[in-house]
Amino acid sequence: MKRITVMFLATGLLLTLPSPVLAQEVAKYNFASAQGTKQIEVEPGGEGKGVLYFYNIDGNRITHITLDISGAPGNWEAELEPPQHEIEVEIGGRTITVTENLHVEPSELLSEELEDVPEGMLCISIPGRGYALAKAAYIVIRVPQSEEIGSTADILVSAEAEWLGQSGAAAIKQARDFEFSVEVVSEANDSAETIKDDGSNPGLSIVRWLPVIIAGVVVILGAVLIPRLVARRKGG
Amino acid sequence: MRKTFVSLVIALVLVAVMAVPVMAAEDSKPASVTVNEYISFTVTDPGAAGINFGSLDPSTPDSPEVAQTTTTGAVTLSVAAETNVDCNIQTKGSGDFTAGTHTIPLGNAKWDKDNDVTGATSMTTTYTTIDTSTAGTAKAVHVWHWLTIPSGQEAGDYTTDFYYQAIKQ
Repeated sequence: MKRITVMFLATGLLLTLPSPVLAQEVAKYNFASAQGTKQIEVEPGGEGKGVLYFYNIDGNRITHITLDISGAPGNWEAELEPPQHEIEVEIGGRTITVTENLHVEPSELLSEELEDVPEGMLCISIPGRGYALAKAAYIVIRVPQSEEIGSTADILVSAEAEWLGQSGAAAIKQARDFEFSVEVVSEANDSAETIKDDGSNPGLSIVRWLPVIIAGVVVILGAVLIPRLVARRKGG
Repeated sequence: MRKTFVSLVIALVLVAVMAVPVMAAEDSKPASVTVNEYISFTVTDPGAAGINFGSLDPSTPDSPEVAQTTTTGAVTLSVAAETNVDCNIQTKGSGDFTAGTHTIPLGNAKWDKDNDVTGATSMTTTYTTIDTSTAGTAKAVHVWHWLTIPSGQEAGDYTTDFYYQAIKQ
């Protein structure tokens, strides 16, 4: 009897131990991004910035992201922040070197915006779902002073996401392109516009002068009618 | 009578003078807003991480990925609901499977949306559309893979990369 009890206890204990098979959860490789405005305005001799946010709320592996820029005219400077760099990662008991711009660790979907955001991260809204911690990558465009106002360029940022620890015949990767349209503008926030009336729009001129015309008519009418009225009163 | 008429004319003119500047001041301001573009795409990979065909002999046709079952593909491709653009869900290979100087043509690997290799499509180095997704709606699609080992294939551990993407249509 005692032996059976011990056996039951041992079996129960074994069942409660985490099984290595159960612990090996199905790999989920998530590559999630948010892109704000695709328009970048830059003054001659100045710089403009675009931003991309990357988050990882549906995955359970670290997403390593490399970015590449193409499409910038030869005399423009286009760079990424953070730049491509090497990091050392320990996986399966060995250390390997990974080249990346940034990596995004899996994080929880948040029901409300986080106030204390870890350094180097941001809390972004995920439409219809909540909030998530994200990392930002910036596209910095610099144009020379001599660049003509109104010049444009379509810049492409190509992103590749990879996940470590894969074995087998084919490693799973993801790719995504982000487009930015860059325009050289005269001055930031200078949207003032001067219309030079060349007479091609007479309607506009009439409307502009109409109050003056009417005021003139009133003055003339007053000058003619008021003395008459006064004279009549005196006469009457 | 005449007095009333004159007063009326003056009043009308005054009203007109007051109204015209208001009309002239009518202005339209352009309103603009940028709606951020979200794309969240997840590759779920059951079994050992990566696409695995196991250890195979030469002249093995259409060997299935080891983790795929009749109901679950080698990978499940999921577009999350916050994705707010219509997407094409696509796949490609980076190139032939290589082991040192030896290769297995990439086209020997196939994909399909069901567990039947009949009608499966060979992998290529350019993206092929597997399915589509609609903005604001979550989508998941299973993809099954097979690999044929040619006769006389040299022994070795052959590898390549399989890319999956959700790209704005």
